[in-house]
Amino acid sequence: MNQALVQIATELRDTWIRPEPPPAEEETGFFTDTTLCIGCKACEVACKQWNQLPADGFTWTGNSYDNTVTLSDTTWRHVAFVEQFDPATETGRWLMMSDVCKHCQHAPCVEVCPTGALIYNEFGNVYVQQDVCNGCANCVVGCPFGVIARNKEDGRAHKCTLCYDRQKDGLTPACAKSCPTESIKFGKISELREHARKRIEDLHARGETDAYLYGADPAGEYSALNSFFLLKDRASVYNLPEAPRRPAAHLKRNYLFSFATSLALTAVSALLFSGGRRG
Amino acid sequence: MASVPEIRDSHDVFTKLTPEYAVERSASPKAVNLPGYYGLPILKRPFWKWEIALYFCFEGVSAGSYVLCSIAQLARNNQYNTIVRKGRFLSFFTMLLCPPLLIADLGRPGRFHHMLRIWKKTSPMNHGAWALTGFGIFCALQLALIWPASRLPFGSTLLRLLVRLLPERLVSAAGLPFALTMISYPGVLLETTANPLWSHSNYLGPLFAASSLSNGAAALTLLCEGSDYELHHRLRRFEDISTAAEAAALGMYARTARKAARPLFKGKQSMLFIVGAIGLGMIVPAILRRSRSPVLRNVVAPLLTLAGGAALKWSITYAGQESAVDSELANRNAPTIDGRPFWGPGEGDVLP
Repeated sequence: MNQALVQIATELRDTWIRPEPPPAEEETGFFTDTTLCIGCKACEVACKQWNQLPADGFTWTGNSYDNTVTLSDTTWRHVAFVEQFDPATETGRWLMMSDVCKHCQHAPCVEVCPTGALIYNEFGNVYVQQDVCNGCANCVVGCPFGVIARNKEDGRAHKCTLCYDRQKDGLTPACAKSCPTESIKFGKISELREHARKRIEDLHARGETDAYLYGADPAGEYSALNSFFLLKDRASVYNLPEAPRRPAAHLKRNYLFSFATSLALTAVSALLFSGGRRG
Repeated sequence: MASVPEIRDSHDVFTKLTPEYAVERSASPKAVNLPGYYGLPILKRPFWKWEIALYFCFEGVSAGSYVLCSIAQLARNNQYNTIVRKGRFLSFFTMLLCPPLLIADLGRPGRFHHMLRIWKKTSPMNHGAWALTGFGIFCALQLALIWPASRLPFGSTLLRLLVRLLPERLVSAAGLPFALTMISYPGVLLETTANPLWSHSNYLGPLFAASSLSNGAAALTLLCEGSDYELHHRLRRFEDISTAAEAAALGMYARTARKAARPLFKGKQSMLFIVGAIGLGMIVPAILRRSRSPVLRNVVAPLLTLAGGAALKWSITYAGQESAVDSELANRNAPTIDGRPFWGPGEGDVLP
């Protein structure tokens, strides 16, 4: 009994203890070049193995070779299979993309997280501190990419950690390491961007003018993504939003409208209650 | 024979050996540009369900009645003493229902206090957690202030001292910012998400705020006694105005959210929303408030307002489920400039 109380007290105290964060390093991320993806799903398997994530079961979507359907709390890499065939000419193309957490530079999940469980770690990656997360699920509705989800078993939010543990030891994340075609490239953001731009130039020079970078630069209200993509068709074809929302961008305006209404009505009530007979 | 370039690293295999790599684009632009990915949703469904919907209802009544009681108290009008007393009980006990609902909703209920680890500027849920904490303290203080000193729990001398030291009006005024935040933040909490139904308009916050205040007034009306003619009258007037504000906010919401509001008007929640929240919750009580029968005016009308407020918050919370799986809206989720996507080829079916 006494011991249990001490344990509870210690845990309570530790909630407010903030250890010194490790010194910031150069930002890292992924560049996923979908023109190189062959749809082998080695990244999905390597991710599951390294991060000890459970399998998704032997179910088939029936619409393509995609059987994991979407990113989830237990699937942190997901290979999308897009088949664009024209029945008349029987010609077409395959688009394959290994999807992953976008590690946004201004991540909505980090912005809405009320506990501070979601942070940018020293590599600039978006990371869920599992000892802090209390499963409020605000990040789930905050993410415009539908990446993060709450696990039914342990009640906490999970997503790609960009193999924080491996990076700590100077290793490449499991998915990038296993990718046989280097469709997934891991590295320092500045180098990845440079590489990606060269790749685009190269592709354009060879007539592949529909290739473009998704998320390499900030656009609209959205920040750049530390895990960005080279795509060959509209983003929505790969189930990525063409104009993702950054909820916190509207926060001030939202609060302004809301408080203006409550204050105005409160003023009305003051007028109503102060008038007339006085006691 | 074409000369084969020298390959230095594995990456070069793909950049140097495949210059003729050209998968033929589908001859049909319609097939190439089929929107979406097999109709699968982009967003995840919200985990927020009945706990959060009920929380919105109770905290609305609690904070709404707190604001009105405090204003009545600050108006220095002694005729309100009875209703203010009753209102304090109402605020406290409806507030008491909130934390259990919020904690039950968590994936890790034992860690509910992690909400108060930090103060976070960009997180409405964090603001709400602090506001509820402050609001809860003030609700309890108000109760201690009006509770007869002889019946204070445990005969607490500390509480009695506190009661004597604190002027009631000061406590009333100091609690107001917390109560006003409790009224204003729930709509903003929903707006600060990627869910199209919740986030595409700035008027969900005003809608929730007006609904909470009219619900607070309705609950206070039910607590009035038959003799409080003037008070009844004033509360009814306030309910009229706050319902009008609610209707205006709703109209602006429908106008600004446009397609995103679809699940409320055409989905599973549409009956509850249109008939329950708008019809029985706003229009019918407004008519009944003008009735000659005191029962219809002072009992049935406020009961319907309360039920309507619950229907409004319930249907909006649950309609978020349907909105999340609408890929079309999730795709163009942010205000775009000239209708162009943030990244990638522009509007239209023809790729550059």
